Amino acid sequence: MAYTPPPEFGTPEFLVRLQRQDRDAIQKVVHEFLPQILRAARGAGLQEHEADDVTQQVFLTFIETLPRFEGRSQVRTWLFGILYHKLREARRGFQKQDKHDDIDETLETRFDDRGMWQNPPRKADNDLWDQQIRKHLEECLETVPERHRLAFVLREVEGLETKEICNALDVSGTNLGVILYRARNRLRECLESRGFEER
Amino acid sequence: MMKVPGMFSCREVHEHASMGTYDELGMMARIRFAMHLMMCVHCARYVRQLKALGDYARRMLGGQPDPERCERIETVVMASCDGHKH
Repeated sequence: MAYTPPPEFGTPEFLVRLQRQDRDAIQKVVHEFLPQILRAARGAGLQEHEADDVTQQVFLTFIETLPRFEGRSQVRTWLFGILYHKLREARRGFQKQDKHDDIDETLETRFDDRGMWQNPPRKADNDLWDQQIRKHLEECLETVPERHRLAFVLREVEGLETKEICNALDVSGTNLGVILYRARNRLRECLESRGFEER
Repeated sequence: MMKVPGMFSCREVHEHASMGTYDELGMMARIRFAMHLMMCVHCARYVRQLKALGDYARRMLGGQPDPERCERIETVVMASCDGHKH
């Protein structure tokens, strides 16, 4: 189900309170969004203590920059944008490197010249799959470049809309499509190689 | 599956599904997409697998973080906020 922020957060009065760094308004935002930012930081591949530190930094930057917040994007989108910039500062894997990705070559082998499957997705049979899904998915997520992984988490786990993710990651809709295409296919290829079975 | 004129190819279905551009398709294109899935077992499987992938990821990563941990970070942030304003 899509996340809905408290209605108060979208009002002009609340925006003014945030811009004035009103403590009560800030605390409401911190309390509401801290679990989401922490979860996304973990989902993006940070260790627990790193995720705690980055989450803390995200909110400190949020507070410092509030006077400049014009409310053109939602508070949540803005916070995810700060998270992305913190991750870019801290980790090389979050730099933009979208020109070449070897998953594209793997996918080329899947289709013939007419665009029909020549190497279709396999239906694997693996009784252990359900018990091992966590381990498999964790290991497969490790194979996804960090920036692509964050986009995948924002879409699939946090349920952000395309426009929100584009704003947070500072990419065009087309670029986001390519990033998600690569992330999903890399994960699916990885899981298939380990006996992926849909339910 | 045979390529039928006017229908999506498997590759196009694969791209729309994995790029997440299905939502941007018009009504006729959505009907063509759905028809392709009805006729193509491989694409139907691929789309199911992507959906399952999202479901697994949500189940694995989507749980609420430990409330005590959140409270600890919130306390530090709000203390810094108080210091920042004084």
